[in-house]
Amino acid sequence: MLLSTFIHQKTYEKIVYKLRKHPIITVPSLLFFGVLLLLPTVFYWFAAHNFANIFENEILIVCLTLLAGIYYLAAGLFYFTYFVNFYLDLLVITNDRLLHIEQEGVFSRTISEVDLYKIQDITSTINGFIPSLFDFGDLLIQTAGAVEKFMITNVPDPEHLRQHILDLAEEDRKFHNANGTATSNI
Amino acid sequence: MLNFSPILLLIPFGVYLFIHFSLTLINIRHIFKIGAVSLTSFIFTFIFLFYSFAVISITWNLVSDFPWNQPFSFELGGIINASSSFDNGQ
Repeated sequence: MLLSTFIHQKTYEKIVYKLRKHPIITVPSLLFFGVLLLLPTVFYWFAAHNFANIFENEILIVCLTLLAGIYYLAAGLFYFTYFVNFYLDLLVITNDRLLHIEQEGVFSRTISEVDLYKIQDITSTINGFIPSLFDFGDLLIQTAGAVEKFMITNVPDPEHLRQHILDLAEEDRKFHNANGTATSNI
Repeated sequence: MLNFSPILLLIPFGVYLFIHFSLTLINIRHIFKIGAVSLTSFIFTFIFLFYSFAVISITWNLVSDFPWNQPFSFELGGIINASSSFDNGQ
């Protein structure tokens, strides 16, 4: 399925931005995955030096080997699921609306949508050493819609994005005012 | 002394494999459903599947020499004290 089909893109609508969180935020989980991969080696080294008689029992070796197999598969699945969660967290900005797709684990997804002309205020925040270094941060969007506040975290270049969304919102507001729909909806 | 078929040892591994590939399929389905199919997602999926099959293959190679048809027995009280029937009489 195409993204345009998933978001039910209208004929007059064009996708301006398709943003994901900054890739640098995946580094801690990548390091954690590396540690997970090293743990059985450490365990093996420790057991071989302290409980060498364990490795004389063939059944126990088979059990531990199968357990290690399950462990490595689970560690891989953990990282793959993390990647999918990261990759499917998507901010789609069209010339008409803003969609925030947030994948939360394997079985949960939240999709929020707001018409651009309903956006009242946007606050961008860059907080901390790493975010300042790599230029990513959070956007807080306040709207006049049913969902009053949108919080989008770890987006790249939030200050530039904030300004661009405000410009798009202004254009959309002019369009809706010209058609007389904005005033009736706000 | 209780006698068991060694095949029983494979049950947890088989159950996990079922869960593992079910979750993998769900994740891949998510990628297709949201329209996030791209070179990046393709490469990550390919690496993950390659990794999974490599782990399964290595695990199976390590345990394939085990005599899976011979029943083993152990005394209740701890698998550490288990003795197998093919253990050269130890």
